[in-house]
Amino acid sequence: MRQPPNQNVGIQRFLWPWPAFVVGAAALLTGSFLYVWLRLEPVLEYHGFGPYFLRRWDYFETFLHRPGGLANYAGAFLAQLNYLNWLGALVFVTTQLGVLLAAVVCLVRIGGRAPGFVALVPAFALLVLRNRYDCPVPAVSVGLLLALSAAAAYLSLPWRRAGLLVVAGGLISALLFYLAGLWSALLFAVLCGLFASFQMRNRPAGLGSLVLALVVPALTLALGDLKMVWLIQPWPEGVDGMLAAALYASVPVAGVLLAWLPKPAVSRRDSRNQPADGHWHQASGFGQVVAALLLVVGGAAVWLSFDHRQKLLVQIDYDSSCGRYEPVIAAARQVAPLSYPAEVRAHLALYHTGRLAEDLFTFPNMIEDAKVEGLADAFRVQSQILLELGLVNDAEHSAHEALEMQGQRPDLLRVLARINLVKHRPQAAQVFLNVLSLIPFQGERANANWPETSPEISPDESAFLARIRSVGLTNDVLHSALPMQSLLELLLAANPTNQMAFEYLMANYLMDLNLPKTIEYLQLLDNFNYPRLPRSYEEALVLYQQVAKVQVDLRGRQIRPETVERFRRFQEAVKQLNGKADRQAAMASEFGDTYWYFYGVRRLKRAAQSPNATP
Amino acid sequence: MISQAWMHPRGSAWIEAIADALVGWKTFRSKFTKWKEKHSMFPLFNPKLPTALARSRCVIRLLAAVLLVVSPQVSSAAELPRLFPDYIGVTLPPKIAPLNFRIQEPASAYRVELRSTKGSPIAIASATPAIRIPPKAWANLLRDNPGEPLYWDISAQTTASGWTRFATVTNHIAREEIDGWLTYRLLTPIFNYYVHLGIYQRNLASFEQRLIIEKEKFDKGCLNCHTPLNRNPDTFAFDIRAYNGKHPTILVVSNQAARVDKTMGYLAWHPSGKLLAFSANRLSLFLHTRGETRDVYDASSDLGIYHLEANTFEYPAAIANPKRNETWPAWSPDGRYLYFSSVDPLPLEKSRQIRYDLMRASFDLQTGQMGPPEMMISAAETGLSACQPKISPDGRFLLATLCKSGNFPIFQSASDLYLMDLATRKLRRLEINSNEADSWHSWSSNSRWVVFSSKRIDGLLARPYITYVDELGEFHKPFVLPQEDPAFYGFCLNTFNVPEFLTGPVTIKERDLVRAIVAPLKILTPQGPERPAEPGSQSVPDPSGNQQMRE
Repeated sequence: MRQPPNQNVGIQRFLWPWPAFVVGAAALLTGSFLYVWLRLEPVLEYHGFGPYFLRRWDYFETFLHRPGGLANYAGAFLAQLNYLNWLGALVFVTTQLGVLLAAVVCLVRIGGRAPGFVALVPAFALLVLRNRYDCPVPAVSVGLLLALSAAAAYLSLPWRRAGLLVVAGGLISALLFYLAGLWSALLFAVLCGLFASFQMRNRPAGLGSLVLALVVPALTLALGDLKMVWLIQPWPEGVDGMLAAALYASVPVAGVLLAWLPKPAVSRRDSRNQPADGHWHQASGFGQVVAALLLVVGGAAVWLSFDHRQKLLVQIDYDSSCGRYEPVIAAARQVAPLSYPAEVRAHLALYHTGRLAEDLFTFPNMIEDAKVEGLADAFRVQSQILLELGLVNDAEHSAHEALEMQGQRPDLLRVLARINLVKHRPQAAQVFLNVLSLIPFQGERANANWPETSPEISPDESAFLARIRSVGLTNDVLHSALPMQSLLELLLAANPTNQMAFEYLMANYLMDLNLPKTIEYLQLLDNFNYPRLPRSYEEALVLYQQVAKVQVDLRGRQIRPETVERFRRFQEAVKQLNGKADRQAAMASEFGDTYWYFYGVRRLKRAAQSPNATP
Repeated sequence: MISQAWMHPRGSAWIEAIADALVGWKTFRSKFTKWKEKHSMFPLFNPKLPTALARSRCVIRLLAAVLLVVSPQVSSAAELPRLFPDYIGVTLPPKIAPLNFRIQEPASAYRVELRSTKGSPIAIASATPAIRIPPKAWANLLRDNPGEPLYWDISAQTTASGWTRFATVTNHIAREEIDGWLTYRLLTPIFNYYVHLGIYQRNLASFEQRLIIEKEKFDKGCLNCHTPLNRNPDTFAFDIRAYNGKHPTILVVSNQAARVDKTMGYLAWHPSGKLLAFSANRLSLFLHTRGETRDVYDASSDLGIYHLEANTFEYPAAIANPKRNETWPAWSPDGRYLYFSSVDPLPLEKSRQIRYDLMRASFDLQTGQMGPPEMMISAAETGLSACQPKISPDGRFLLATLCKSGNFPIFQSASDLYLMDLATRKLRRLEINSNEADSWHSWSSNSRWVVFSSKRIDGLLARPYITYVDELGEFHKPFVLPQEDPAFYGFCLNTFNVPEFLTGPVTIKERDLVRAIVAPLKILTPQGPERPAEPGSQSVPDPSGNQQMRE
């Protein structure tokens, strides 16, 4: 039997000596580890996007019924390790290393020579994918790793008959299809096909490999309950299809290139031993420049594709959930534009640091109406705020909406447990805590003493529950979707000393530019122990007196002279504005932290959006 | 408490201990591990010793038997053990999955013996409070003892005081069979948005649960009340809400699925299978700021009749009175009456005053004529709102849910099951009710079992309960649908609604049902009149309008 050329190319010949590649790969992996650990901070992804893994059979069972489910299950488990930044980074880099090694072996077998820095492309693509917080990289990378590892092991066998390689490969593709979905099966089949085509010189066998890999998916689609969308997108939601496709295609494309491109020249020394198969480090200076460029471009792509705003938004979410309010305020100042959940969390942070009435309008990025950016997040943040305000039923409504959309998140489970405790349903609270205890790393924060029917409650928690019960509504109002202001008014009517409801109501009216209502509710100030008139109320008061030409009875309170003086200067600045850009900038610089500036700019924006409105 | 040697009434302690050793291998191993951890001298032992011991199961069994016999100082407690779920004093059908449970008594080991008049007792030893009963032995015990009591002897070992034997739990095995399958919808206690929602079926003799159809398979839309014809698994109907802007009904007749492009709400099959009574509602969800969070307002509703053979529908005046809102249709088993809820419409602001009467109208299948409505349960007399009438297949009883107001009892903790003896028209509140919502009830084919959804465990999540109804119409203490994992209900965030008995499994494939929704081979577009106009028709304050409630 004729021996196909290059079929016996040994992998070990390319692994050593290969110092430049090893150094480059080590630099990439080390850089990736530090980048993911320190810049991306896996715990942010864990908190923001999960997924959350449940240690229960019925959770596992849900992954068994569709192709790719098991890889997603493994991905969900690996995602739990993001709870610790360093561990999340380590898992990622380990995956990267696995992908890199498997890719090297595959490329060596397909291309018949050392792949050089081309083998680093999948690792870079993985890092670009990892840049996105909402992308479930573990699930994607498990599928990739499975396919590449299977291909690497499979192609390393001493194949002599292409037909056998293809048929056995078809069976492995079918298994991979079940384990990791269509793309893993196809990747494996394509790599086998390329090997058969280039190294065994049997193109029909190469094509046959691909066709065989499609048989099981086609049958499943035709005869089973598999939906086309699940076939094409076997991963959890959030995966960027283009990036994932690029990641999966990178190894076969590199294999084709390596097989087709002319082999680099070899040195005299090596030509004695290895006449046909060049090493990258032996290539020309041009090749080394290209390789260096590849590293630089890859690094730049990773750095530039990082979404700083998204990180800040997740940071705000995470810090807020931990009760760290100063970092929330600091991050909120940097985000432009603010999302609705981030704005709500910033308000909460201001309230808890006693600055909501003082500093609300020191955020220039709050002038724009905040973008909702996803209903589920909006419901989630609402559930927390509404509960703290004492609107327990509305909080329950929002929490359940979010739970349905976002699944069993730890923060939602805790909120729902609290809600049920407030509503005197300890057994229902316990169900939520039981589920919480199934999530790795969350057991300590859950009361796992099931089936005890009365969860142990810490003194802090008891005080919280008592406060919620004391500030909650006393009467039943039927509604389908009452505006927040109406709900806050109901709260204040029920309990005029509910300071949180008061400050939130005032903030709502101020942001809604409703000066008469703001002034009306100022009369409740006597119920609270403010040392002086809070700044935003004071500025609104000055503005209102000017606009309405009335004097408001302040019941002995004084407007500070410096506020009056600053308002006078503001008015003068407005008169001199006349649409000049430089003066606008100066005005923003001088008065950007005042309610007057917020009022004026937001009013102009609203007028611009609504042609019928009078500016 | 008097300490005494533990003697089993049906055998010696020796036999019991050996039996325990034989079945309690895991118990012993667990004890050994704990002991090993407790004694710091263990590292001095030969590390191969435990492995060697573990390999010698006979030796271990013998040792275990000796250990258990030598030190079984057992005290008797007069109290019953606390069990979860509450399977104490319940009546079981002769074919039901094992009633696995957790013993809510702190102890380091547990022993349970299940016995009846005939057959071999079942002995279970466990190191954890979760008790899983061997299915085969359980099935045999129940099969051999219809009409007999079923005793559970439960002992718990506490490290301080040895074994404590609790008072014997006495359950009963009924003679009457139960229908073999149960269907229900599983969903979280959702409000407006829904992602995961499915109709499932459960084999009552085992823990097997099969999917009938889930919402994710057709992406958009909501699945609503599945309604079988006479508990027949081959013929049933269910609604889809908001699939591509439509609200079709999926009709499965003899396992052939078709899409009916007509919005139907609550459904009721005429026993002949020729007609389908349906409600046309304008439902909307609203919230309370105190108490129960959710509620449902029906701005306007009527009942109609869909003629399957002619593919036409009508709104007979008796059940589509423009001045009344009619809903919740249910046929009597002889098909001569249609029962329904009916009320004078009121605006949303007065929803607490909306209380439905329960009425019935006679019906002649030959002529298709419907008689005038007849009052069955008057809201004025009960002060409650009557919903969800269900007539027992033997025609003796009317079972309905009565709640404080409105038409959606599962959202109200005060909802209770009421029974009317149709011969005497006497209405009574059932003793089996709880302080939480009890609703969504359904009769078995032989009228001896009722399944219903109850929130009695935690007040939030509805679970399916099964109750036995004896010849006198007495309802026995219900038991929650058994699950393989005794802790299941402690971790399940889904609520079970619309449980319905079936005589066998639904065999139509899910993909055929999905195809009937998204690309049906057969589309029926029924012809019929518009709904009767309402004089001064209600304005609906809720813009969400045509919602369908899901729990």
